Amino acid sequence: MISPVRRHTRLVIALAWITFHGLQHDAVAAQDSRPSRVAVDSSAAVDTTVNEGGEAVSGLTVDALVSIDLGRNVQIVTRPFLQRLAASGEWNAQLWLAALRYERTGDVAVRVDAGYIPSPVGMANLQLRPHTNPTIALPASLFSSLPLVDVGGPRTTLLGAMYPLGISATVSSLTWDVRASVMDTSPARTRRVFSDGSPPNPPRFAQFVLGGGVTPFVGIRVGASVTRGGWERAGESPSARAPRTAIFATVEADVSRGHTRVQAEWTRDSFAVNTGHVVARGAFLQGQQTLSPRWFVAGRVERLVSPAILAAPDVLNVVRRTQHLQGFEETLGYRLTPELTLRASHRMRRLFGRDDYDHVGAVSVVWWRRWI
Amino acid sequence: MLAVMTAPRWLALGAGLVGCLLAVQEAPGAQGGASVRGRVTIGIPVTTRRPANTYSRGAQRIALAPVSELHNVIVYLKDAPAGGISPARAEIRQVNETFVPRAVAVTVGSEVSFPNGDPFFHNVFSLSRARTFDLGRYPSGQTRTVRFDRAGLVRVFCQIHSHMSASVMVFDHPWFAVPDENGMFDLKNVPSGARRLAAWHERLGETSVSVRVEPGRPAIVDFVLPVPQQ
Repeated sequence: MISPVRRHTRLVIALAWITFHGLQHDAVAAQDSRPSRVAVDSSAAVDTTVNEGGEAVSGLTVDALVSIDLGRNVQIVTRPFLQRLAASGEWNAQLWLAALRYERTGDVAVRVDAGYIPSPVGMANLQLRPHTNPTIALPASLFSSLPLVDVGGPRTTLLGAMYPLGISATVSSLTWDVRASVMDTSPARTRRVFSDGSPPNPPRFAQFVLGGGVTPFVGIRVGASVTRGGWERAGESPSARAPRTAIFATVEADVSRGHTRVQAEWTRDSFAVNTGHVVARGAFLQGQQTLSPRWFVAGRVERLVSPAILAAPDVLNVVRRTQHLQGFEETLGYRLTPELTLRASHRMRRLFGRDDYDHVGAVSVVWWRRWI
Repeated sequence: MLAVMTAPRWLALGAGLVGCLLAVQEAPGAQGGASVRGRVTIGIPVTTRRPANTYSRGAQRIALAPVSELHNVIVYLKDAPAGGISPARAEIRQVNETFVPRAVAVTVGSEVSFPNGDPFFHNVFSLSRARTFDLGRYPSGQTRTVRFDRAGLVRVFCQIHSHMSASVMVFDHPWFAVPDENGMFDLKNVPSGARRLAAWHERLGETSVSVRVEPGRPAIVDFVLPVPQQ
């Protein structure tokens, strides 16, 4: 049994070896440049959030995205990640991406990722890096827990931010893209690559994902995905005598033109439970408008709907009531340099089962740099 | 005699005087100047950034091709007296997720157009002190134009494709050049005296050498970037 720390060390050594050999560039004619073997960018973000009671908490996120071209259209892609959680002050070091990638360019391009891959489900999962998120907070669908779906069962999210172990194949052209993936993690239950058991990682479940999109005009993409796989293992709740499956459906749209970008995502989760199926759904709409080369505004409106268990006299008699999470965020941003962005925002969220909105103010400094 | 001059003659005389003044101003080094010629060689392998589109639903369509880096070098006179310039037009195309050329040298008041030659969006912008702009997203076949009214280096990026970058060097004097495909350059009418000549490349930085310009005698200066050849 290898401890997580020793496994971590071995992984870092292996990546360092690969990086070193990736840097050994073939001799090229000096007057011509060639694309580099290694591509590296990094980001860091510091966020401070103040609630209505004047309590302030700060979080820190640092990451790097490293891509090493091994030749023959094969790359290694990895993203080490370090986070100081604002709420608890705990540090969280992860390897959110460690994949072997085959990519063949062309009018019909092909990409195959294997390993710890970015989630092939939905669109919000593609905006987890601070400089790609137009607002300070991320969509609630990624991190906010839904009310309990099953009596005594595990907590779930609508569409967890995750980097599953899996394989994903994408074929795309200018006007369409399709993908098929198999992965080990339910979108409702986020796993961590490095986990000390607190909280414990959820069990692995085989998930099958089909997704795609169309781009009828440059600047407009509409996509959808369907995911089917286990979400609850036998024995995880008193009523779960066999593994249970869930179906996740997403529809997303991305529209941009000039200085405006608008994105939307709708998600529907259907969880199998002992009394049938429990359906949770949610949607968000977010936009960004560049006002001048340095100033921009952004915002997000989101709403999650989920049944909550009110009473469960026995496992076959569960009383549920629909609850809502509603959120708004408005952000003002200033680009100090191409690498440094300052943001301030106001966010209001009404959590599941609550009548009132919580208001928070937040400021954020985001640094991003492409190195090679 | 003056009394009998007709209006067109006055106008012609005035225009002539203005023309002479402008001519003197346009070529401050014309009297006693000489050309400075030479060749630029790049001494070390140069790499360009490649796409790293990990967070994208589509696969990468474009494979970047090798680019001649000599077209991305700018040779210029340092600490040159301002003046003697006229606005010009230049172009930086967006083709295959690359700015072509990646380096452009213009005079103050010039306009640079940015046509999009790719079948998808780019978003050209700069936050440089010499010129700040954001052209937004526009489709293939369309172009946007930026006027540069301050001397200095303007670094240009694409907000969508992080591997794309270009540079516009804006001069308030006429002594600059981009080498040809063989690396040859020729600066004409450089003012005589002790001068500093620089060769600049986006990735290799600036290399400068001293040169003594004597009236009527061409000076030869060769550069090996990034190490100056003395």
